[in-house]
Amino acid sequence: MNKINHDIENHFNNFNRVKYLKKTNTVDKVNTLRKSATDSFKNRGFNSEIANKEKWKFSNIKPIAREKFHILSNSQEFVPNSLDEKIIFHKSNSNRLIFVDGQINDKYSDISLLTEKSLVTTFTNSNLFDKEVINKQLGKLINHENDIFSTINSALLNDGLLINIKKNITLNTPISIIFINTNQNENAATFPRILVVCEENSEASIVEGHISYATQSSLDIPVIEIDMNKNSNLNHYKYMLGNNSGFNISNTVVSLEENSDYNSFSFSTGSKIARNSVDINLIGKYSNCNLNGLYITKDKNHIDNHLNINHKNTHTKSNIFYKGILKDSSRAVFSGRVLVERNAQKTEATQSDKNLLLSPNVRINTKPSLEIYADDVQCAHGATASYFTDEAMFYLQSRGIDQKTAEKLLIEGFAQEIFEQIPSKLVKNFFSEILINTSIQY
Amino acid sequence: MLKIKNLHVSIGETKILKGLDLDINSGEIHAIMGPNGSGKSTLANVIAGKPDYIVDEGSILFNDIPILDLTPDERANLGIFLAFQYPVELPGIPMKQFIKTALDSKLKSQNIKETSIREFNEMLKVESENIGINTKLIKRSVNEGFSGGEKKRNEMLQMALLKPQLSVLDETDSGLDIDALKTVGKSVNKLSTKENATLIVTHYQRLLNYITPTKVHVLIDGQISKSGGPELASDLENKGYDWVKSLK
Ligand SMILES: Nc1ncnc2c1ncn2[C@@H]1O[C@H](COP(=O)(O)OP(=O)(O)O)[C@@H](O)[C@H]1O
Ligand SMILES: [Mg+2]
Repeated sequence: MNKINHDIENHFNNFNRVKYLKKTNTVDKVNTLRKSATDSFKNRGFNSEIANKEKWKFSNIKPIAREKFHILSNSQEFVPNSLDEKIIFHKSNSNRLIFVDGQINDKYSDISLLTEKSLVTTFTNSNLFDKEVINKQLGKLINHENDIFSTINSALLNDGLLINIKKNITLNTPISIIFINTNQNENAATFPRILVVCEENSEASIVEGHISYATQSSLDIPVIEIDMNKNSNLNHYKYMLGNNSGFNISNTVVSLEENSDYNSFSFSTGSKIARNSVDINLIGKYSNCNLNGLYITKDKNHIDNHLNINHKNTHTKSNIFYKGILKDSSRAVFSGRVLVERNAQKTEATQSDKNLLLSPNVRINTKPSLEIYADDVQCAHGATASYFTDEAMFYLQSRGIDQKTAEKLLIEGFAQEIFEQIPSKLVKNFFSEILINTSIQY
Repeated sequence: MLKIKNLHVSIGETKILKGLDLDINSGEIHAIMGPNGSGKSTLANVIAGKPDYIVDEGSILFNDIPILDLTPDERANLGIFLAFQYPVELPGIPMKQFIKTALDSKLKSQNIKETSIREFNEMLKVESENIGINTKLIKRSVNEGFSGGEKKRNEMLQMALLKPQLSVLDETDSGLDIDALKTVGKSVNKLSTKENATLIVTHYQRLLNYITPTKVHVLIDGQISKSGGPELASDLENKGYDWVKSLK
């Protein structure tokens, strides 16, 4: 086994050959961010991250630290598989941008509508006005000292995406951004980056997809920063369709100003190790966040949902509701940490995590935690893990339904409760479709 | 149609049925009556194939096919239906999807093409009206938040749609008001043809005011201790189960 890498050049075996890393980016901030992140990695490496036992209590990142990866910078001809053809690239998902192995794919992307309103741009194609926004905002919500993976993302940042929902704009069709890792041969790594700025009184929906086609070990480290201004509203739907040999370590950081609303739904299936880190800062009073999610694991998959919510002002609200379906020898970790600061009176916080266990060999560690420093608050949390009841199975079978079909009905039924939390009918159907098509393998 | 011979059943270490014999022919309605804990649900569940029970001895033939080794769904598709004493709530599974999947499973087992959505909706509408199920319930998850009576009506709805050859009703009458009792009576009578049979399992006699059984059996301590015609039910009502026990 390799030893742990302390140099980013060593961690990625083609680091010095990747052209874009030597070229000066047209956005100043990208250059300075790369430089400071590379230095930060040099100073800390993986060791300080591994040493943070509380943060990585149930998830082992050493396999990632020891492995050498290969930075993907250009892709061959992209051919979607049949499932994607049917679901992901379905015509109902218009307004979509597809990144294949880190590069935008013109053939399958469709953004005419967006470019017209200049809501979305890649960093490299940004105009002067957008550049100003990127220079001001990129990396603002991220602290490289706190997380090695966002540091790697910043250090190896190629082309990111800016989504800027302008003041008073209401966008009815969701914007879909899909990242596909297609590499079949090497330890392919990608570093998707999105910067979202929701200006005052804006309303929008974003669908963020991560799909791995990789058959060998792969590594995806996405970072999305979301800055929500006064009275803005964002629905953020994220799905991650992993594969048994892939690592996906993602970071979502959201900052909410007064009276803004952030609703998210995270849907993930399978990965060797997947970490979904979400950091929410409720900065303005009356700001509100709703985090829902469904994870489905099989084989030896490992999924770790790590949610942090900081209530920093009065009358702020947070709600976490996640569900998991675990099969085979898979493992799920759920940690929801809610911090209510001293001055955050009249805060409401709830969280719950419910798991359906389909095998006696699965493992689940759920760790809801509340840290409350204010006195006038309402908080509730709970976690459950249960098997199908034999009663339910017998009832279905007694109606002539065979065991496999009955299992499928019960799984879909369990998922349905959480899908009900999705406000967009389009997205709800889309996720159900993914679930139905993947649960055929169950 | 149904031939049960010397059936011995236990749960864990407890013996519940101790040598039960029962013959039901097509065209017949049988009632099994017995005090609480006598093994009525056990019998109903074992016929339907519930896995918790251990059959220590004996056999069950359905149309001459030994069914004890068959799974519950295989038995259902042969034409056996159990109306549950306590119907199960299935959150997240819509009523329509549940009933249609059941219906299609049966058709598939007979190599018949599944019903179209439109045909199905029509059938469902007609039967729901017959049985007096509020259409709002049809839009909900299976039995979720249904009242006791609504759950029992839902069992009758499924029975009406699946048209089983043998219906086993486990205490379908308990906790029902007169209207609901009448509905159950109507549903059973409607399905009673020369080809079909019904086994009614009950503690009380009142359902038998609406359904006239061919035979009545008294189950006490895991065995049929007395059999007779419809008059046996009213004797029981008047004299109580102790009367049968005293005859032993
Ligand atoms: N899961 C179980 N474990 C142990 N004993 C049981 C179980 N279920 C039922 N019994 C016992 O078996 C006997 C028969 O139960 P049951 O068939 O439900 O009776 P009935 O339907 O006539 O009231 C009762 O004594 C009951 O306590
Ligand atoms: Mg009973």
